Amino acid sequence: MDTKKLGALLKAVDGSGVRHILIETKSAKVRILRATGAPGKRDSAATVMAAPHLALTKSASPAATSSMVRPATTVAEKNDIVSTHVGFFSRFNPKTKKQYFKLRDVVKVGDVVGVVRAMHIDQEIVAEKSGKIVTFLVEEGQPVEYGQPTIRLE
Amino acid sequence: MIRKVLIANRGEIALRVIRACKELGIKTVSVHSIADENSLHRHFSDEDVCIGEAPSSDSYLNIPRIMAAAEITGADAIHPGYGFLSERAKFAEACDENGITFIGPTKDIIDKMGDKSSARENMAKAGVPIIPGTEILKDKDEALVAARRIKFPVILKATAGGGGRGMRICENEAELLKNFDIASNEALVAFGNSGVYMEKYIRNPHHIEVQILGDKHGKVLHIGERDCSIQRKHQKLIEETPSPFIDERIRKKIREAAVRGAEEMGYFGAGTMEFLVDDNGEEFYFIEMNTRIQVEHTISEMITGIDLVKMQIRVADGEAIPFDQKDIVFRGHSIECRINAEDPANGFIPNPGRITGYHIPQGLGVRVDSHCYMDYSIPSNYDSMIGKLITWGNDRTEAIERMRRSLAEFTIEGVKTTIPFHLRVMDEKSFLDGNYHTGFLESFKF
Repeated sequence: MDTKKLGALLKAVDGSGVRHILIETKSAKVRILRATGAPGKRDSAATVMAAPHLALTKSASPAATSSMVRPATTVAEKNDIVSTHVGFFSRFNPKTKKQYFKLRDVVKVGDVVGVVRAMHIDQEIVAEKSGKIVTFLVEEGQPVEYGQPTIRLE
Repeated sequence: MIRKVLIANRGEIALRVIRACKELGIKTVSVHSIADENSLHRHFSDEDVCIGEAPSSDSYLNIPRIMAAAEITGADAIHPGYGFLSERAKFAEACDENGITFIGPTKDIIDKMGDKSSARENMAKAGVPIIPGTEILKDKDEALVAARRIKFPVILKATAGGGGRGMRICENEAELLKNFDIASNEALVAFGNSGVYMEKYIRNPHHIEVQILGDKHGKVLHIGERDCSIQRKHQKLIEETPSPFIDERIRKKIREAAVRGAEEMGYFGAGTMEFLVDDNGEEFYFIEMNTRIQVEHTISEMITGIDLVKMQIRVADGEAIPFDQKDIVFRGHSIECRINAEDPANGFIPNPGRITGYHIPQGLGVRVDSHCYMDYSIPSNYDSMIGKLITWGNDRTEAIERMRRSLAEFTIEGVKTTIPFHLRVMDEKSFLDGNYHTGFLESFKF
């Protein structure tokens, strides 16, 4: 891990509202978390124990990485549709096998935009916002946690 | 072999389990609600999953969400901690059905020991003393016969009652005859059911429990007893081991009874048998069994050096307990004070908020199990525990002195805490004499 680049990244986000950064390479994983959400609050971050703020761990193997959930690497924006369930995300209707929506489709409040599958049960993600899909924030089959942004609208 | 444990809990116990897993080389997954975004446990685990909104029903009590978190992370075992789902048979069942090792006893054992009547029946079979009592009494005559068998004082209880309501203490036959009709009528008015039953009334009881550890190969051991008599509304505040109240004869009997009871159930894992001891220190009675790790497991660890959480995991993995009863050495004395964000000067009202100053006591024989840190905001959605302060000493005097020193050193600013209360108790005569019962707080002036 190039510590100079890491330092430059920290400097770049200092003063912004970013609170959680995760960087993952083949040989290392770095998670950085601010103690408080307030931008520029260096003092409060400095007084918290170092351990929970900077955790440098080595991945045991690529297989280990693939089984891990890397939640919330995307910071939720106001037009994001977030997951209200925990499980594996799918854009496809399990009955019809057709995609609920594609890129640039327009979604209305109340539309089912995906399902989250866990323990053999499919639970729907229902849009609470309207807009045009600009990007899918998670891959097909990707594990998602509660509150994780899945689809971005404009 | 267990490779990855999901901890279905939060706060200090989640950290406790994570630490044990790390020492065993086992990966960890934590779950958290959105109210626990800044909780330490999610940052200590290898992976973490947000499972829901703040209310426990949406998060820490939500079995489908927790099982889903286990599925997406590939966890092959779940540790339930204490509270929440730790004694929910349905949770153990869900783990079984999904091929996940539940770090605890079987669903059947949880069911049997969770049902008061069934637990008493099973303990009686094992020759464990239970509080003498009756079924619903037909009339005064039957009540008299029962009271002569049980011996006064007795207490009449409404079968549909609870929360201390519908109870009448009777010191003799005249009082019993007078109170029987009153108790029946009160029960009918309050609960719509006039049925009353009788139990022996234990005056000024002492709450003494025994730590049990069993494995899947039939071995059951005790890890000593704990005196947990200082309580408020049935919530323990201070625990110590060994109990300063009972003598060695009763200590031996109560420990052996607990092992017998656990053997009768085929118990494995960590569990605690709870007893009431009468004020003479001569008679003891089984009240219930907790089929999980307890908050106060720490003091048993301090006097034996046995890591109970690691043993829970190893036992769940099918390992045999690698020592026998005779190998356990009980050394010294240990005390735990539960430090809560509560105002003891104001009826112990919860006082969540942001911690603006935090320094934990340190030194030989001092242990702090806490999930809190400087700038941490204690959420109002869950219990008010900040942490547990545990001291060990070569004897009780040293453990108390060390606790006094540690409490004075423990600095928590920004929220009110129970530290001042504990400091006062450490100077209270009945505590220092080791002669206090569950009514301690009623006469304690703070």
